Amino acid sequence: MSEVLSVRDLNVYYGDQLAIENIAFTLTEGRLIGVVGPNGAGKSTMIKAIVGSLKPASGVIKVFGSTDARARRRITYVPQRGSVDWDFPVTVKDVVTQGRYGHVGFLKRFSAEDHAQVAAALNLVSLTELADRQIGELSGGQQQRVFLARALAQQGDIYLMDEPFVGVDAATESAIVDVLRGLRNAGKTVLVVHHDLATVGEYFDDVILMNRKIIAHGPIEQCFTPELLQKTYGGRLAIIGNDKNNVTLVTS
Amino acid sequence: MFFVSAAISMSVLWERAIEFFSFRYAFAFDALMASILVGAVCGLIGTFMVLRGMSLIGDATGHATLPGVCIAFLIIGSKSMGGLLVGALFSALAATLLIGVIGRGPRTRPDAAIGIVMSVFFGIGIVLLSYIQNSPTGAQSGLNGFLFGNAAGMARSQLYVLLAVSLTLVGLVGIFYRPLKLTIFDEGFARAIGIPTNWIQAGLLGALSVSVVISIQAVGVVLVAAMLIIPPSTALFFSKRFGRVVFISMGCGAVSGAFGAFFSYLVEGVATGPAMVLVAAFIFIVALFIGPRGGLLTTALKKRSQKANRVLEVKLEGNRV
Repeated sequence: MSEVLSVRDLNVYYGDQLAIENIAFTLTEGRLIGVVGPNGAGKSTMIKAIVGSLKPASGVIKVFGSTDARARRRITYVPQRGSVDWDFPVTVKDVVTQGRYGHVGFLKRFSAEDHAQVAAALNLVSLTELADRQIGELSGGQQQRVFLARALAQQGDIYLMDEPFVGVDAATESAIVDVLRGLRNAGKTVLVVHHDLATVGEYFDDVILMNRKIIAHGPIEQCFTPELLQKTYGGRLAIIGNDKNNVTLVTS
Repeated sequence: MFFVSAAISMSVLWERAIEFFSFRYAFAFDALMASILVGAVCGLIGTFMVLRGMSLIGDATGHATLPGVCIAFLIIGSKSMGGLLVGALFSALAATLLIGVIGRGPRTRPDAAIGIVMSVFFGIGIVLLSYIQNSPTGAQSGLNGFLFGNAAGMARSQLYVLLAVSLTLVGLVGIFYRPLKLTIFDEGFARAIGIPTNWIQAGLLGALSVSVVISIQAVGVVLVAAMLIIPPSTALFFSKRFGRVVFISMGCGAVSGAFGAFFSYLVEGVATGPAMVLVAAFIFIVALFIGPRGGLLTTALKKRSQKANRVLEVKLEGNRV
């Protein structure tokens, strides 16, 4: 299995507060990974630092073995839905087309290939009919699918997604999960910040448990255990049921 | 009696309008062109500022140019327009930097920083202006034209400078259109695909300062912000596409500039700035009510027809039962 993304010694400060500490992990191809941890654990911060949206105090990020800025373009970032102004005057198609900006640069016209990628991405998330809508006219689930379509149009090899299931209806959630599995099966690496512990085992191959530091990283069976979760969440986690395949958890 | 005088003033109005818009007088032509250019450039840069949620930076930059103008006048000793505008640019940039520095600290919020810097700079400007007005050389300087704008006081050479700077700004926005748009829409994503968003932001603030500086002679330092804020706000009622919003905003600004210059020509003693702003505000109010995207009346009518449809459906259902 080839090494796709490796993160070493990643530290980020907010003011004088250490937000994430000595983060290190390696991701391989064709895996669907959930990142789990309490609020304020630095999950979003970690993703932002990896994609370069935030400047870390230290850290080495290698994409396919290279620290080159160009290699980093193979990462696709899906920000939190709340991070943009949905009243902005852009249509669904405009936003998805932004996924092609990295390919065409500042001035070049979009090629037939670009248009085809945009259309395919819209189709994959069932937004073709809404392509000309202003993005504020969409439901939360549709908005999240717009972000996903932009990522798909970008045709990256690594997908880093920040809470794609927040404020999303059940139908959209399962549609998004299907798309993510499709990516995984096509050999892509997909890392998802996730909040709902009840679905972690169902959705992901691997899990990263973190609370400012990485607590555990590995296959669900080994790492998504009550002991490690307890360690991640501290006293804020109550484990109600604990069957072999069905761990019921309540966070407070 | 009333009708007669109204009829006369109507005919006078038309006469004056034809006189003004036919370019019979060079000064009227210059004032008209300058106002149109200023309206369009402010409409262009203003769209980015408004959508970025930074409308008030324009207000601060406008007010902040006054001390620069006055200090430049005191140094040069005469009203050399180039010198005054360089002074204006320096104090505008200084204010923008200062807002960034003060607003970043943990105690002062960005909006408070804008308020502080704007009022302090404007205060200094007014003190210097009063001093200049009371000095023997300053009384005829016409510097108070900078407060509310005097498009008619523009020389032909200044018009050429204005035209050149406007075209440069339009060209730069054209070249950096995609990164600009993406940076103000989704900065995190923009940075992730390798756009140097800090430089883009700095460039935008620079463009703002330049457009404010070239505008203050026509609109004045007090009201230049209105021309940066009102036309884009109007345009948002008309389109869901960013590119079109930019064009509509430029159009609204240009039209406001043209009619503002005309009203200022028509009614003696009315400065260009307030006249332009009132025209822009009039267009905005019209858009606020009947704008196709979210206008108050438009929305109310849409809701009503939806409700009527629903009532009709219920009735049809009832008939079926």
